[in-house]
Amino acid sequence: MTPRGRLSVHPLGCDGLLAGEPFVRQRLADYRAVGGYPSGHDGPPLVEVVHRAGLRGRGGAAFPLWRKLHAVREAADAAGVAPVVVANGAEGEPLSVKDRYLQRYRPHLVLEGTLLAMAAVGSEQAFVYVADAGALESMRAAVAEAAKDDLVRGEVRCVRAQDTYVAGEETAAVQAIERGVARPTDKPPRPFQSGIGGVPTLVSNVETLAAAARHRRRPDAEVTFLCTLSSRSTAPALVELPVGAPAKEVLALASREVDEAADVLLGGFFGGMIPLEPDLELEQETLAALGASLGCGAVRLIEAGECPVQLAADVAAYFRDNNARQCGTCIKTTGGVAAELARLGEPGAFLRARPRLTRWAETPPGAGACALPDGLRVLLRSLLRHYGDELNAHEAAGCGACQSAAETPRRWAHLRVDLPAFESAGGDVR
Amino acid sequence: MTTPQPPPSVRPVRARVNPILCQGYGICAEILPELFHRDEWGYAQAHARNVDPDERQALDRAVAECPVKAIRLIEPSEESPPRPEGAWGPDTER
Repeated sequence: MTPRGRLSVHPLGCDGLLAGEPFVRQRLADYRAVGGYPSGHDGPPLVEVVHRAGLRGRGGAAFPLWRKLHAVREAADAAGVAPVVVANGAEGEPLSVKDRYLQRYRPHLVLEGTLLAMAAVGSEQAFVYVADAGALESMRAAVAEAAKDDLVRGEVRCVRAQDTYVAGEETAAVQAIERGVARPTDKPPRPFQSGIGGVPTLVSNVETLAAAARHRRRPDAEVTFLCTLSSRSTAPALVELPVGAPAKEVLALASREVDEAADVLLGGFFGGMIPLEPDLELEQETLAALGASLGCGAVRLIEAGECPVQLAADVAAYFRDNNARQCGTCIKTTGGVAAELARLGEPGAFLRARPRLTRWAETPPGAGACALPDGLRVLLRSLLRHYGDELNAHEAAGCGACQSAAETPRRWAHLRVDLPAFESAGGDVR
Repeated sequence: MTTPQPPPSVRPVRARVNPILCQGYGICAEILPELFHRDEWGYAQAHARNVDPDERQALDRAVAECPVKAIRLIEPSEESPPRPEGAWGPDTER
């Protein structure tokens, strides 16, 4: 079961990441016509451009891209090797489609960002780690088109990611490219220290690279992010927004009253669950103060008839069923949290569960090889912090929605946004 | 006459339990409970702090006695991207 209706696309201005006709693959000629792959560019170096713009990655920590570029370059120089670049398009978050959209329909924006990152760190080899068959077809064709026009320096290969939640985690991406199995490894080292073939490797999200290409062309452009907006009963939307935009700009798109807070799951399953005030600025610091993060930018509205406790239990069950099954603590904790949350529909269950839930919520970060246990912790903490009234109401009177969800197999399957089928349109792609 | 031992390292290090390897034997937490804590299933995690020089000897024993060799020491230089000093103007980050 997926949210009703076809995805709509909402670009920002005529020069944003989503500019151009929606759901139409931008070919090389179209991209060059709007200023793509400028020749003889002599602006400031990429690292300076993205530093001034304040461009950050799309992981939970929103790591500044310039620091990553710098670290990879330094590590590679110190080792006397050429680093590798990975354009990370694996989009494991079921509530997010923005990376798949960019790979399918704006492949040259992603590719130009990848080529610029290669040049910035002194790399001669890049991998575009693509999300699905449509992304693979489109990105491969883009590489061929660009190579034909002599725009590609070095080697750029496309590798398809497995369709798993953890496939896009940076060390899992390295493992997948090297050995075909996407499983995270313990840190350190992180890929910027030792990645593909033991060489310092820049693993950067495709949206971040696309944004880098755009800022290189237009250094003064507004910094934006892509948001996949979804809810139970309205059609999903892919929206480009300025970083720091008030939440009501998102809420209005879902024809939601914008004078009251809306409960949301933020950052897909990874950024926590909060009441989003209409005037709240959607940017890292503001959200961090609420114990949440923007992450991949996905916003899933929780509607009036829905139970936030049930949705938290859905997400915990998803983590239980979709972790990498490597770390004992993660396997056990996701299972334990999912089981406790699934019981909260019974009157009296919350007070019995509270000591365990609180203890899990306070676990220090870094318990797992990847951040999945940390995502679970963010979810739990935000549930306990912002939804105490609901939890107490469950304690007193139980909850029918929670009880019936507890009986539902794959209870998390409704939390998913899909792109329409990709029409590759033969000649367009080749 | 015995050979003098080198002084224990004064470099700050952190301990890390590789959670993929950890089987929850708990020997590390028996040896050094101030540094290693365990979850309710017994899986161990090291506190995210520098190891106290007084703890260093016990830590070395915990590393050696871990049946699955899950514990290692991490130097500050291995941690996170170093921040270049004044490389590109004022640092606007948090």
